[in-house]
Amino acid sequence: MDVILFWILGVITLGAAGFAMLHPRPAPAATALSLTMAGNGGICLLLGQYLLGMEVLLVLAAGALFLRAFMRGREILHIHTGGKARWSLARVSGVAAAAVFLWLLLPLLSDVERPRLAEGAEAISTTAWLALLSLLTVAITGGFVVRARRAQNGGSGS
Amino acid sequence: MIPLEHVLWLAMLQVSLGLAGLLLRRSGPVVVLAGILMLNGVLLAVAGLAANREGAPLQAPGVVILAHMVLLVLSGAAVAYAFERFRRPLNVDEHDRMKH
Repeated sequence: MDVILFWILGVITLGAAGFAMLHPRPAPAATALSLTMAGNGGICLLLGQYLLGMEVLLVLAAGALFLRAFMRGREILHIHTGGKARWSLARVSGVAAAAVFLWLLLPLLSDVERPRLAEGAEAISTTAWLALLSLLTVAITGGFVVRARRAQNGGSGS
Repeated sequence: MIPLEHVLWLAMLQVSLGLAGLLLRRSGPVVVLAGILMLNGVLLAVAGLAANREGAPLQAPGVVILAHMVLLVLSGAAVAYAFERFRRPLNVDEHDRMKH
C-alpha cells in the first residue's frame, strides 16, 4: 500500500515538474514547482523523514506567504480579480488542508527525537493520505477557478 | 517499507528533469526553478537513503537539512528577484560574458 501511495505522489511530482519545465511562462512554472515540492514533502513524511518533510513544507509555505505578502502575488500570477480578496472554495479548502497538516504535524514535531517503531507508521500513513487528498482537492478546485476565470475573461486563457 | 530502488528512481527522474530544464530553457526564472527541482531530487535521495539505512532508520542529519533549507531559500530569493527586477523576459543566453 505504501509503495502505491509513494508512486501516486511520485507521478504527481513528476507531472508537475514536467509541466514546470515545459511551460513557456515562468509564473505557472513556479506554481507547478510548488506542487512538486508539496508532493516531495509528502513523500518525505511517507518515508518517515519528519524533519526533512516539515522543512520542505515550511519553506514552501514561507515562500507562498512571501510571494503573497510582498510581491503582489495577484499581478505576478496574472489573477486580476480586483478589489478585496474574497473567500472561495479553493481558499477554504487550502486553509482546511493547512489546518489538518498542522494538527497532524505538531504532535510529531514534539517527539521527533524518539526512535519510531511500528506504532508511528499508522499516523504517518494517515498524514500522507491526507496530503494526497489535499493535493487532489486543491488541484480540482484550482481547475474550477481557472475555468471560471477563463469564462469571465472571454476565453483569453490568462 | 518503500524499497530504496523506487526512491532512487524517482529522485533520478526529478534530477534529470531539472537538468533538462537547466540546459534547455532560456528564461532566467525557469533556469533557477530547474535548479530547485534538482535540489528536490537530491533531497529525496537523502531521505530514501536515511530511511533505508541498514539496522534502524535514521533521521536525516541536521546539517543536510540546514544546507537544503539555505539553498532553497537562496534559490527562492533568486526567483523572486528575477520576477520583480526583470519585468521583461530575461534570456540567460544574452548574458554570456562574465564582465560587460
